[in-house]
Amino acid sequence: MWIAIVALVVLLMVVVLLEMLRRRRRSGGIIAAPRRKH
Amino acid sequence: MSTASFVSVRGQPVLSRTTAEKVGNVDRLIVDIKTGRVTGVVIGQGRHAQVADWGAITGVGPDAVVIDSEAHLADEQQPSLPDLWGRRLLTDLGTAAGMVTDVIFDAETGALQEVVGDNEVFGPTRLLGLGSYALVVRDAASGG
Amino acid sequence: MAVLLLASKLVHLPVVSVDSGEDVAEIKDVIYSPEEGRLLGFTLNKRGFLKGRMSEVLPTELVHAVGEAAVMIDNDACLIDPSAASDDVAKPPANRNVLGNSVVTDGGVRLGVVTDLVLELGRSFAVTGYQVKAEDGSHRFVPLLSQLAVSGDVLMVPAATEEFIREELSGFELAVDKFRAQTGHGAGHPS
Repeated sequence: MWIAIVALVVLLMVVVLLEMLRRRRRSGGIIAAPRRKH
Repeated sequence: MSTASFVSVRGQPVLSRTTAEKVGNVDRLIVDIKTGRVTGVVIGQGRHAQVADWGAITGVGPDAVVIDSEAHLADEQQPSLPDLWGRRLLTDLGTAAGMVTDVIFDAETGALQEVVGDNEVFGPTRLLGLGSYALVVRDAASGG
Repeated sequence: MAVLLLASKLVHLPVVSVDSGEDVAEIKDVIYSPEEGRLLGFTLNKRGFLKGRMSEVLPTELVHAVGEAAVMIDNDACLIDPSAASDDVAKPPANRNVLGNSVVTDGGVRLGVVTDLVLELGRSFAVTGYQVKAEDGSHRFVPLLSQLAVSGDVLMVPAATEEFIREELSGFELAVDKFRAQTGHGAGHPS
C-alpha cells in the first residue's frame, strides 16, 4: 500500500519537474544582440 | 431590403419547406469574410450538427429559418468553422477591440452589413481574417 | 499621439496572422540591437497547453504591427526557418539580461542601468527610449536618439537628455517629441 503512495509522490515530483523545465525553456525576455567588432 | 441579425437568428427553429417539419435550432451562422457573406447555417450542436448552405435556405425571417429540404443538409465537417458571434475582436495594429456582440446581414442575399463590437461597428470591407483566436479588423488608423 | 509600451510586456504576447485570425505562436525573446537602436526580431514559443519552444523565428521586417494585445503578421509564412534569418535573431546569445548597460551623459552624469526598452506601438514599433534604474532604485524613462554612441557597457547620451527624463510613461512621449525637436533628431516615422 505504501509503495503505491511513494510511487504517486515520485510521479508527482517528476511531473512538477518536467513542467518547471518546460516553463524554463519557454521563458523569454529582452536580449541585446552582441556588438559587431568591425 | 430586409435585414437580420445573428442575435435574433440564433436559437430560432429551422423548418423544412417540403415537410414543414422542424429540423433543429440555429446554433450559429457561417460566414466567408473574404466575400463578405453568410454562407451557411449550422443546425444543432456537437456530433449531430448539420449544415445548410446559404443556397439551400429559402428564407430567414423574424420567427424561423426555412430550408428548402432536408436532403440538402450535410454533416458539419471538423474542425468546425469559428463562430463570428462572440469572437474576440483584434485590429491589424494589435489592439484589442472587445468582442463581436452582433452581426447585421441582408436576409435575402446573406451579404454582411455590419459587425457590431463592444465600442465600434465594422463594415464588411474592414474584416481581414476570421479564425479560432480572433476576428482581425482593419484599424481605423490603418487607412484603406 | 503614439501609444508606448515596455518591450518586456511583449514577452508571451500572441502572434496573430491577419489573414487567418489564428494565434500561430507567442513571443519568447525580443532581440534588440543597442548599436542600431532598434528591434531585430523575435524568437517564439508554440501556443497551447504543454507546448514548448518553436524553431521558427520572426524578423522585424516580417512584422505587420506590434500592439499591446498581439504582434500581428500578414500570414504564417512570416514565421521563418532560422537558417533564413540573420544570426542575431536565429541564434541569440544564451545569457539574457545583457541589457544592463549603463547610460551616461556626455556631461559625466550616470543616469542609471538599462532595465527595459520603450517601444512605440503600431507599424513602426521603434525604440523611443530606455527604462533605466537609477542609483536610488527608482525607475526613469530616458529618450533615445536615432544616433547613439555605444561602446563597451556604456550608452553615451547628450547631457541635454537629462531634462527630458520622466518617471511616468504617460508624460514620456511628449518629452520624446520635445527632445527630438530641440536636438533636431527625428526618428523619421510618419505622424
